[in-house]
Order: sequence, then C-alpha cells, then structure tokens
Amino acid sequence: MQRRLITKFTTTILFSTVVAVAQGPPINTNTAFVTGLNGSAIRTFGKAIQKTTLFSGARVVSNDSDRAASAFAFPVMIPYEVIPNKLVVIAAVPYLSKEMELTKNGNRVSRDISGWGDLKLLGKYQLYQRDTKRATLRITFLGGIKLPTGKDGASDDRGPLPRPLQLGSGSVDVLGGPIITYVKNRIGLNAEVSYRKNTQAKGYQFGDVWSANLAMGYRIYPRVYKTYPSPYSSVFVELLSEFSGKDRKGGIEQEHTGKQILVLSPGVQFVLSRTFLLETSLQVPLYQYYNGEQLGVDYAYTFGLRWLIF
Amino acid sequence: MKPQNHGTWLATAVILAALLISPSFLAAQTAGKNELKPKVTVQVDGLTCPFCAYGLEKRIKEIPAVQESIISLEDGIVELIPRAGQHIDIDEVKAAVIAGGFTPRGVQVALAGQLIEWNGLPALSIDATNGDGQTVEMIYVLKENKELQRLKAAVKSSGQEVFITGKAAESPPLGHPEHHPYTVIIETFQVL
Repeated sequence: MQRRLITKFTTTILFSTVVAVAQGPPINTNTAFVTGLNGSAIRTFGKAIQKTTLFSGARVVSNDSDRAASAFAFPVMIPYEVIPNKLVVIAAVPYLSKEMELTKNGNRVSRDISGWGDLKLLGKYQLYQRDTKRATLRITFLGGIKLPTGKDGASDDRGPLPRPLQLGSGSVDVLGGPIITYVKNRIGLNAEVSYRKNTQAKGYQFGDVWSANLAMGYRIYPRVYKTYPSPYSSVFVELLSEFSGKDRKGGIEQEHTGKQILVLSPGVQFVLSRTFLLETSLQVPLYQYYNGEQLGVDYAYTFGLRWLIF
Repeated sequence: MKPQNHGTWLATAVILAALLISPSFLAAQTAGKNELKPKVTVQVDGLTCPFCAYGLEKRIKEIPAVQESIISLEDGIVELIPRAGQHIDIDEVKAAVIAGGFTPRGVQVALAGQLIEWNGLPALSIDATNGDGQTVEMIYVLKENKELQRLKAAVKSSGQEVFITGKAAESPPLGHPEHHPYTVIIETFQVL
C-alpha cells in the first residue's frame, strides 16, 4: 500500500507537471500566450524527483524500512496553432522511469519500470487580450483529456506492479482551468488554476486534483532588448501548489492517499536563438501535508529545451 | 571689411540657422539620410516578449511583398522593407500583426511616386508589381496640410518623382475603397 502511494504520488506529480508546463514560459507555470514558442515549438525536458522522507500529516516520521522513491520523466509536447492567436492544440506524452525501494527482512527490495506514459490531448483557447505599448494582459482557458495509452497492467517477478507504479492510470481523465498572464517591460506575471477529474479504471480511482501556480519572471539580460532576435535570459520564481483528494478502491476511500503541497521553484531560462531555448529549475517543498503516512518530496529539478519546428 | 557687411553676414547666418532648424528642412534632410527607401512602419502594442515575437515574424514573412522586417521590442515597432518594385499592403500587414498575436496601432509610410490629382483630390500614384508580375497603380490620397502645399510648390512638372514620409490614416471618406482606406498625412518630402 505504502509503495503504491509513493508511486501514485510520483505519477500525480509527473502528470501535473506535463500539464503545467505544456506551453511555458515560465518554466513550470503555464502562460496565457498561444503564439510564438507557445504555438509551434516542440518541447521536452527531463524532470527528476527524489523522495526519501516519510510524512504523517505535516510531520516527518521515522522511515524504519528506509523507503525511497525516485522518478525521471521526459515529457515531449508538441503544440500546433490551429486558429492564429486563438487556439492551440497540444499533444503531450511522457517517457517515464520510476523506481521504489525499501528494506524488508534485512534485504533491499527494488521495483522499477520504464516506458511511455499516458497521452494527453490539450486545447488552449485565448479568451481575452489587451495590448498597450510594451505591455499585455491575456487570459486563456486550458482544457484537455488524458487517454490511457500507457501500460497499466505491468508486472515483475514479484507479481503485478501496484497501480500507481504503472506507466498509465488506465483511466480517461479530464482537466481544465484558466491562465492569466500580464507582461510589462522586463517583468512577467503568470497565474493559473486547474482542476483534474480522474475517473475509475479497473476498480481504482485516483483522487481529483486542484492545482494553483503563480510565477514571476524577470529578464536579466539584456537590460534593454532592442531588435529581435537576440539572445536573452530570464530568471523565474514560481509558487506551485497542489491539493489531491483521496483515492478510491472499489468505491472505498484509501487512507494513505491525498495530499496538500506548496513548492517554491526558482529557475533560469536562456533563449539562445529565435527557435531554441534552454531552461532549468529547482523545486523545493515549502509545505507538505499527507493523509496517513506517505513519502514526501525531498526535491525535484528540471532541465529542458524548447525548439521551434513549425 | 565694413561694419554694414558684418550686419549682412549676421542676418544671413540667422536666416540660414532658422532654415536649418525648421522642422520641414530637418525632415527633408532626414528623408535624404534614409536613402529614400520605401517602407512601412507599424506600431505594435503588446510586443513584450521575444519568445512570442517569432509568431509575428513568421506571419510577416508570409507577405509576398516584404523583403526584410526589423522588429524592435524596445520601441514596439516593426519596419517592413518591400521587395524592389513591389508595394506592401497596409491591411495585409495589420492582419499579419493580429494573426501573430499582437495589436497594430499607428502606421507610418515612406513612399515614392508621382503627385497627381485623383477625383479632384491630391494623391500619390505609385507603380508597383503585383504577385502576378503585372504593373499596377496604387493611389494614396494626400491630406491637405502645409507640407502638401510645400510639395505642390516644389514640384516643377507633372510626372516628377517625389518621396514622402507620413502617417497613414484610416479615413474612408478620403481614401479609395477599391484600393485601401488610407490617406497619407505628409510629414516630410523630397522632390527627386
């Protein structure tokens, strides 16, 4: 059970990450822009998550069996501008590598899996745009569906892997929420709220997820951006929060599931040319609350690129 | 040298200085320094982020008559240089800016052509090549102002080429619905 919770947590984080960064910049929070790099650039990045601390509620408790979990995700996202400056559709699928370990009867037990996860099809529609000189305010709605394309019945020599360790959830889930972006001169502010409704598959239903992200970006170089294109770099500070409800198995709420988490994420982005950028961010939890006992996040980091192809 | 000669020199210097700093003289000089190249300059609002300027650049490059574009984020303007002998359609530019994700505002033009009278209105006639390689006549009505009066006075013969810069104002009553709705308010000129 515990391991399932751990990997479920990882899966949730990974999924929400793919959604949250489908369009960037900024690095982890969505932007309301639907053009430029947000309308036609393939994006991928690597994300690593390490979890070794056991929580009960908001308290750290003794991790007697030395439980640990780690996950690496390499989502690939391809947006396509369907209606200029209005509607972008995005296909996103992550390549996942997950592992969990614990010590049992003096032996270290490890279970792992790698492969493609569930495919997400998202639509981003611009609702409002108000431009003035060197400033803009935009509001967008991002919504979509997650299809069960990832393997959800994998097993190893110990038997079937727990559901949360599977590459796919097996369920068809929907999500949506607004994004607001305000940019003036060198400063950009982005905020988004989203809700994901998870459905049941093979008797198991992950808890629904609310998330709210806030990001502030500041162009550090050059101080004055004269003629496009020229290289530039920005720093970001983001606050990422997530509230997950309890999972249900056979319609019954599972005790060690569900959480609240608030993460601080500083990051930096280098735009090297008109079609290519590199970015990296660190994610440090500021607050974590877990129902029952669950492994919490020690840290996570991302390193990625975006490359314009259309 | 006699004292009255000093007075004459001084008066000449004052007149020359006054001429040199007069707006129209400065403007004409500026036009000369810009090598008299036709161009369209659009003020683009919302142009804040280089990462989304790519969409604007992509749309502008789709306009066949555009040879070169210069996007200035600091000034919030886009300068478009036409291909030799071609004419950039302002409406096409505005549509490209909107499709690129931004809001077009004021448009400045630099045009070379002949001063004519069109339906009783002063106008600039421009011979340009369209997409099919045919020569077409583009006409811009010119709004009455002091610079236009000065231009008229400066043109010695019909058919003389002139180069003007100014604001392209959308004013359908004065413009040419069959071509475009823009009237040019001359700011600087040069007779070629």
